[in-house]
Amino acid sequence: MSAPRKRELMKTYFTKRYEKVFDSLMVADTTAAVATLVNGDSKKSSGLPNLEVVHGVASSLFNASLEKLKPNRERENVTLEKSTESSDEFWRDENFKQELYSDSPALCTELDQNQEVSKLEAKTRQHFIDIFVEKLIAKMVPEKLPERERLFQPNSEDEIFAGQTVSATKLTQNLKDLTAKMGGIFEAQDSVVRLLTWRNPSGTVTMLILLTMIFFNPMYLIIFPMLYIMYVMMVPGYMRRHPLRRTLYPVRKAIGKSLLIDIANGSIPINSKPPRNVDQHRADSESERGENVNNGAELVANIRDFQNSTTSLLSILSSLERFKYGTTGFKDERYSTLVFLAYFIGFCMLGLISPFVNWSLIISLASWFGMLVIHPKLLPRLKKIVNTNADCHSKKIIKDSEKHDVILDEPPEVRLVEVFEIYERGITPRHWDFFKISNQVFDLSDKYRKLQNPPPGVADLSEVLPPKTWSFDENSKWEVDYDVEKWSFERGLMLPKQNEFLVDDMFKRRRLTRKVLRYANPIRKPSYKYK
Amino acid sequence: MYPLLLIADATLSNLMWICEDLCLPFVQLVMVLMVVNFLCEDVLIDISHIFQFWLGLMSLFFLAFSVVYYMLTLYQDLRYESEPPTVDDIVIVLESVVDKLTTIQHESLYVNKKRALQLAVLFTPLHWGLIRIVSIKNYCMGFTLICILYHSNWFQCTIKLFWRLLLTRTAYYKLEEFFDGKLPFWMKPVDVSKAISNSEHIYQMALPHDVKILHGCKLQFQLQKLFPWDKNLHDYEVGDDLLIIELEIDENQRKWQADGWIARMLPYERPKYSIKIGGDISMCNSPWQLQESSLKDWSWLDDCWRPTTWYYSDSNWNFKGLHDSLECYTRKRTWKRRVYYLRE
Repeated sequence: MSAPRKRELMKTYFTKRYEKVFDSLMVADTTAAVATLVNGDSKKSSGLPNLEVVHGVASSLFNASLEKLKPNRERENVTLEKSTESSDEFWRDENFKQELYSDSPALCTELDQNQEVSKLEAKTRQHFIDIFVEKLIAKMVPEKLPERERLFQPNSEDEIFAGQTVSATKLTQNLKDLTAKMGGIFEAQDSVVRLLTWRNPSGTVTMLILLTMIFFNPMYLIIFPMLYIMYVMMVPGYMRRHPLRRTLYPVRKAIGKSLLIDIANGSIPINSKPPRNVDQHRADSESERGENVNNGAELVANIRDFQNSTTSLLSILSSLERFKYGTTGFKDERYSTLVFLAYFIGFCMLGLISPFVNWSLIISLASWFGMLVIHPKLLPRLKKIVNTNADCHSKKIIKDSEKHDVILDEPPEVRLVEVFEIYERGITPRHWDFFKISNQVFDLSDKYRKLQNPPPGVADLSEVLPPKTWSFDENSKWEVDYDVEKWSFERGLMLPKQNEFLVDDMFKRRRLTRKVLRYANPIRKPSYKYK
Repeated sequence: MYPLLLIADATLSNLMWICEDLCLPFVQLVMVLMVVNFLCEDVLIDISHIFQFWLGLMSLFFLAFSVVYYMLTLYQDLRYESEPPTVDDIVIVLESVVDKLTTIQHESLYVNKKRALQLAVLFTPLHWGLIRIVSIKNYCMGFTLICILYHSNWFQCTIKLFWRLLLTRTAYYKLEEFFDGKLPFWMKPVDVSKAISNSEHIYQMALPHDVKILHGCKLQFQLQKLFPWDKNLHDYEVGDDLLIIELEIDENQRKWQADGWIARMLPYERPKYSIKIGGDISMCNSPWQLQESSLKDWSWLDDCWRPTTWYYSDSNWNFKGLHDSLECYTRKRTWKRRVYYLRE
């Protein structure tokens, strides 16, 4: 016991002794790193230079270890403990005394101590990583992170703090917990897929019946969830605690078949084979759940499913984005126009017709019909029939009409662009040499001129490019602006004039303008595309 | 015989909704309802009516066919496929059928002839009113629905959960009282004279001559000496001189989850203090209130009331033991005190 205590004492002594030095060091280091990063950004180099990243990471590591030496970390520990305790308490059963009082300190002391030690270790380790990540982020992102809207005002400083920081351990812990709890969601997804693909025919028919009931009386939308909570969640819970004492006798093999299921499986002959792999898979997963031993396997399966679901979520999001920025953003003008008109016609039709239609009947019939059509046995046959009847004729007509029915002839946007033709004074004051064509006036206060650099520009008018998304009007030429008075006044240049030129001691320049055209503004893009 | 057993087993598990695939009985239930709908439907020439008619007819055919199909496939499976059933198989199915039958019997309401008559009398106006409000068709469908669902776990659990409510129990016992024709026996507390006149524990004793001439406190003192309170009165010599009555008042308590054992009782059960008169339990004041009233010709033999230990029992006052346990929800103890009457 004495050695660690001595070490602890030494540590506090050192920290107190050198805290100020540490602080100044940290500040200097941080500012330096930020400065280098900002400079790098302004140069518009793609990504950070490797050396700088290494430097940033190393310095934040250093800072984090310094921070860890400081003995003021009670705040986070307190909040952590609070959360873990409250979540554990919930799972104690109120009906059993031994569960309620099992955690009394008198009983299991050794275990508690061990746990506490491990807890403390976890906390300190977490603390270090958190500080490290925080520093790293502070380096990468110089400004404060944007705050999110909150439903409830945070009560204390701790809550604000917890919401503001990025914690690597918290993130991984959350991910871990999430994957452990996602099992139910994936099971629900499984059952939905099973229903839609007719692998559970009686279930599919039940779903159709329930849907029909909902279509005919939307009140069932409220009633069914209530029934679900009562009889699918609560009654099994009650029966688990107070069994009705109904013994289920094991059946070695089901003898006799159900007509409905056999019809749905499409095999009334006796030697029918149900979709074997599906059943096996289901049985496997159920046995896994029942045993509760293969916890690790379940977790890994959950992680895999989670990964797959994030992939599919991303693809859904990207297709939604395509719709949002492409179709609704008039990327393809003709197509978007057609889509808009189709929606408009649909809206009008629905508005006019809907009072005269028995929607319940139509929607329920449609759902029955749809489910019957996508029946795995029926679908290939229907496809065959449709394919033989389908002809390319109709497609051709559609294509022809699509080409010529939308007229895109909005007048384009018109602007003028300017460049300056700059001449340099030659040997004699009367002699001028062509210097450059530039978008800069290149007067005395020009920053390029101060640096004694030539301004950005080209040597020939044909090399001048229009601004992005614009194009030059081919019917117009570069025109000299003779109203020197006006453009020099607009720029606040008080220099002598000479015909169309504005002259200073070294250079003279004249203003050329040309018409540029643009059919439409560029489409919107999601924020992460602008970089 | 075995196939018949299998069919019976399947039918029973459908009725009790304990098959593996619950959707199938649901679909069948819907079809049965449609058939009922079709049977109760008035004949009208109308698209929706024709549609319903068609649906009902189709479900009827489908149900009939699926029953036949099930039986056919069952026989076919037994005949052509797999090995013949072992004795174990047969025994298991038999046990399963018996178990299900007992469960169903246990769950169904206990109705004898008298009760059936009473129910019929009670429910006739109710039925009449219901039929006035809902159509016969809906009434039939609802009745079918309840009949089919009655033995399902859901229905039974619902009943059990409702049984937890005080309101339900009160209503049930009110109905019971109404049928049994008994008025609540605890409306008026029993007074001492009635308790004495109806007491079952009357003992006639012979007395020695020197005791007979005593009066008041001395007599009581002598009697206490002669008949100590912890001795059984049966053991003494029977005679004409003295009447002794043992008054017994039960103190009842119920266990509540929040408060533990307290004297708060349910409205339909025995009150806080009760006394047995003529085999019935009657309401009674507390022993100490009781001793305030005059005894007329009788006098107290004992100086005070003596309690027994607690007797623990379940929620319906069936005796369980002398110690508190999880199955005990009520308890009682008896306060005893004797009175005597000296014959001149």
